[in-house]
Amino acid sequence: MNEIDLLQELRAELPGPRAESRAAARGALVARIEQSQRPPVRAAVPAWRRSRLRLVAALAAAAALLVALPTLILGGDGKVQPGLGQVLRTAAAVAATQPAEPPPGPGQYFYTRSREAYLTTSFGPNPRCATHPCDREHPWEATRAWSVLVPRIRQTWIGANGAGRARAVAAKPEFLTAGQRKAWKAAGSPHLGSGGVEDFALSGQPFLDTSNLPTEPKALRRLIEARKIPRVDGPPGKAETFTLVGDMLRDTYVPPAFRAALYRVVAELPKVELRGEVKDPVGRPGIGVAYTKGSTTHELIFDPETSALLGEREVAAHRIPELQVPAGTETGSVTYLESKVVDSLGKEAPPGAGHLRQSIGCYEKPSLHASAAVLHGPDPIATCTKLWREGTMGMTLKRLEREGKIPKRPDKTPNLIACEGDYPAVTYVFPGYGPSVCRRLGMRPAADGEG
Amino acid sequence: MTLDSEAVSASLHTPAGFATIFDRHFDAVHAYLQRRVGPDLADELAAQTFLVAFDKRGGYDPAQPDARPWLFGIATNLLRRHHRDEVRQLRAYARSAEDPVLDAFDGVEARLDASKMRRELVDALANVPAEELDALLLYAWAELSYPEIADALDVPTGTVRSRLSRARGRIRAALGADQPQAFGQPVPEEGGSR
Repeated sequence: MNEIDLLQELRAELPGPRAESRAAARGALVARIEQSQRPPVRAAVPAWRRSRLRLVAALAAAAALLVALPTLILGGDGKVQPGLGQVLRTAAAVAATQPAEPPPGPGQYFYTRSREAYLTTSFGPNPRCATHPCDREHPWEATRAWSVLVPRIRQTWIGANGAGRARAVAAKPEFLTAGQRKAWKAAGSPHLGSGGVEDFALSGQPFLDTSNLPTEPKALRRLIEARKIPRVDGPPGKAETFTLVGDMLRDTYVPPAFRAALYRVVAELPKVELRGEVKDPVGRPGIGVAYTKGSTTHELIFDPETSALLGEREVAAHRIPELQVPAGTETGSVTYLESKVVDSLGKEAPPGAGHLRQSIGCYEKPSLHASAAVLHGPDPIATCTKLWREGTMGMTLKRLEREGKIPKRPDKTPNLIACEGDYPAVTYVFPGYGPSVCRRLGMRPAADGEG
Repeated sequence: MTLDSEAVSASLHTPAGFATIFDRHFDAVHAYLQRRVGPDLADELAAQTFLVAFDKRGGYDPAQPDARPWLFGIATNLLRRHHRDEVRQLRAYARSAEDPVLDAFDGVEARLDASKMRRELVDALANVPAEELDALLLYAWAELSYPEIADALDVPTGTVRSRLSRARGRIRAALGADQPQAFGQPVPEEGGSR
């Protein structure tokens, strides 16, 4: 008997899924399918989406600092291309000499202005398929795609308490090709979002605290790879590590020694590629370093004179047939235009901007992976209790009760515990008893947190 | 009966057709997830797998007639976030001889399984790195072939071969000296000790 046979005996006779679980999963899928049928179907948002969410938070945008240093990397008309390690070590040396922009004091905000553009691909029916048989082997040929970049100018204001304002104004859409513009027209010119303004209050966007983080590159890299830095978190994988380092490089207020360490971490990451002299998305010259995973290359562009991050872009590493875009197409970019400390939230700030807004996460189970509802309000326990009473929460408990795992309760609401974690102004509410629930999850009990 | 690839392609025009993929494969995906992390998390992750699959159906390789490797690949990605929980459960099992996964079922007696070899096996599994564990369990539990695992994990077949070989070597080493094969030695594709 070998180890595979032994393994195959392990947990071999588990029952199949419960009918309710299957029905719930199928119901969720059918709902998603129905939702998708409102034409035009927007599909295949590039992998940028996650970092884009972070950009809403855009804690800081590295603008070209005013301090001019002699060009250290590509001296004059130097044709000799130094290696990646050398370029990044030089960037690290420059970073270490730069002043950090201070985080905002009381009544002040850290202001950033950036330009972002993401490729949105939509599909409409291909008129040709009405008269010709369309190719089954290439399903995307049955649809006609148009890909369009909708640039946005985004401004953020973040106070020391992590609360502030974000405003984004959409500019004129840019079609990749005339053919794609035609496909869009043929589909009845659906609205592309140009001219739209988003303006909303932000809360819970605290500054990255580097005071307990090492500046020794190996130690720092280990922490990043283990996803051990609070709020610098993401799925596993080396590409993600590259993205996370990019996220931290945006933060111009972190100490110069820390920025320097970040460049040294990039220098040590495997598979990072030196792109040499490139232009950032608004045409400023910089040095590009890139990481390719699957169909996407993520490029960071920094200013060799100041080591500030000028911008980032994602490019299709090869032709992506289902998006109908050729290799080299820019699928997303962000350019950091300006960052400074200001004394106001700007004109016509939306109500509530700059004020911490209490968020509440009501969790179904004492685990951060459990399903949760996120709400706003003053009283976490009362807010979540209401959800349990209404039956919005508690599907799992109901099952345990039915199965006799827990005693039947006349009132379906379990005892609730409120905990506080890394994010200010967020209270996490879990079913359970006593403060140990919070501690087990690496949090502390909220003041006044027992329901 | 249509091929999975045809059903996925057709669902690009008529999305409702994607439900066919669900009906064909939900139970298999759920069974695999459940075997790894227990019924509760499996309910959640299996449902998510099909939502993700639906959203990504435009990227499905139409040359691949069977959707299972693709679906198991998505399920494996979703499992990654729970690797630590999985390992914790395996360690608890090895320590107490009581499997938390079995324990989660109504009606299934939480069998006390004191077999020394079983506990050593579970302990060894807990020490297999995540990437190797995925390859190993897709092979042993999902019963995918090497090329299918390669598709699921988006790595070359040679990588699957070496991950499996390393994982099996680790387990053999942990199960003790009565297993003659050396750590890390390549193993034949069909399994079986040489």
